[in-house]
Amino acid sequence: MKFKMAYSFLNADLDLIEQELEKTVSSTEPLLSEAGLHLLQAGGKRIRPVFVLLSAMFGEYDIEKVKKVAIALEIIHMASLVHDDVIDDAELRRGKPTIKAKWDNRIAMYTGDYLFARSLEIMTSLENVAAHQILSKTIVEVSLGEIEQIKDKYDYEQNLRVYLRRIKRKTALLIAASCQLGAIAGGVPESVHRKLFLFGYYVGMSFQITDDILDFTSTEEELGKPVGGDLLQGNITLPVLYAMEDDELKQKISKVHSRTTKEEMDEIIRAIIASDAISRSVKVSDMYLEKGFNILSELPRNRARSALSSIAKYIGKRKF
Amino acid sequence: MQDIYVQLAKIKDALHVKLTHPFLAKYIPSPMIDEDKLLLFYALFDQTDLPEEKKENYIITAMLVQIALDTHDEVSTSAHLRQEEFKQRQLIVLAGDYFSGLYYALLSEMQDIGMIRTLATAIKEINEHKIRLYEQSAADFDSFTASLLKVETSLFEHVSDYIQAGIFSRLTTAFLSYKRLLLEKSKYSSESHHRTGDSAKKKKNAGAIEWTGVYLKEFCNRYFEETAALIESSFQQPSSLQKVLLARLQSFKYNQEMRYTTLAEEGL
Repeated sequence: MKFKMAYSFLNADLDLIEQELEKTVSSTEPLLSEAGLHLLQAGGKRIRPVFVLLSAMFGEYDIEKVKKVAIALEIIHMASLVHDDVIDDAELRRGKPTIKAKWDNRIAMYTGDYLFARSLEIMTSLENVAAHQILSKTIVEVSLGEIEQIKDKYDYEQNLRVYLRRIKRKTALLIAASCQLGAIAGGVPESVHRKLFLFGYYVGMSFQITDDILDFTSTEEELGKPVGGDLLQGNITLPVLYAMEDDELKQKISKVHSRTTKEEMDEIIRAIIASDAISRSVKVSDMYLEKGFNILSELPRNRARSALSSIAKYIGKRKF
Repeated sequence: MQDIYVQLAKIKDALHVKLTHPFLAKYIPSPMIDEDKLLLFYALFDQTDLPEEKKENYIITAMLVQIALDTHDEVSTSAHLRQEEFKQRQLIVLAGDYFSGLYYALLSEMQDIGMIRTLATAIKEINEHKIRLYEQSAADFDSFTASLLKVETSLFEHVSDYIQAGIFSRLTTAFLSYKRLLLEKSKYSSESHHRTGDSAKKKKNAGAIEWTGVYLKEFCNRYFEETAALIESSFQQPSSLQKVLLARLQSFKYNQEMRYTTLAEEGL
């Protein structure tokens, strides 16, 4: 089953969200509207809105209420990407020029701040204190995760716990929050929205680990950036941590820095792929997915549950 | 009067605690706290019947927003940076995001969704005007000046509306407008004095719009008078806060006049 087929029954609502996203990013300032539209047109999986809508289906599904949360979360994600591109000095995202490349860093900062504020405005239509506590804590954790990422760059002595905490903050928490907040907007009982948070968390962890694996096993064409780019940038991911258990390989890897040549990188990438690092990382990713499936099995049986299960399966098998 | 300074110092300490992050502190300068904005937020909330702790928390959240916005103004656009500078820029971006998250988290803990919305609306508006100024897309002088002052006052205006601060809303807006225009005046005169072979009557500001010295002088005088009158009339009975605000306002004027005297004595 294709990824989008898993939730095709949401198509009308997702189209509505797409239209509302366009309205939401528009501003009285033409440049901001243009930048917002530029970001939307670059596409994206809209995975957060999908999780919000599906999770809301465990309660009373009212698209008018739920769409606000879905839009807010997607815009928070967009805002973070705009700032991430300044952080990484990135020229392209999904094959299109980034805001900072099309305009400059200052415009990117203002656009990101504008979008973040816009998302909170939308989010406050949900008069639920618990929801705001969850989202605000998530946002703080995501920021801390990004700061940690800078701190941990090229630190070849970091351990698995540091890596897992980092990807939890960087990726898993916002997906977990999407599930939980969708459920809260649907008015589900606490026992259910807590489970949906855990489901999102496990799937998010698996998603990021898969991303980190693909950085070595995919192609430059599919990734839209050089293979091994994360390592070259100093991000020590799970495959790297496993590969470094081999002393000889660790010696080579720990010499990587921002100016390591392509030839040197290619040799290291080949060595990592030849080791058991990739298969061991896949196992960890699968373990998280399994936990996600277990949580799902505790939830009421409905088409949203089937769709979440299909999405989780896709995440485990995706190739890019 | 001493009490006010003690209170302000206490709030500032609490703000410092919120802002402190060991890794950020190692690589980027400590965020600047605008003492005047702190004083003006204090003045706004001092007029309310809110419990002290709540007042302090509101002031801290509003200041976090201001600091987050100011932090992002520091992000450089340079293409060529040394490794350390690059890292610093990365952390400045993240610091601003982190401070934004903190204000949201604090207000969520206070269970005040209305204030979250209020601050978000102000941030949205400020960034719209920042872009207008940065892109020099203001259509005329009035809209340029309006944007310049909106960036400075929007946060106060929205907070004032939310807490129904009445006349204090006008007071803070006038105060901040005066301070901002004084800065423009100071920049204008400094650049005019340093220009040679130029009539020095006009200064290019933000590209498309030009200040004139006369206009700035008139504007500053008008805002000074308005602010002073509002400080006089906003308090039902004489208070320490009133004295502090007035003293602060007059110190701006005094410093500005001293500056001109020095420039004149130096023959510039």
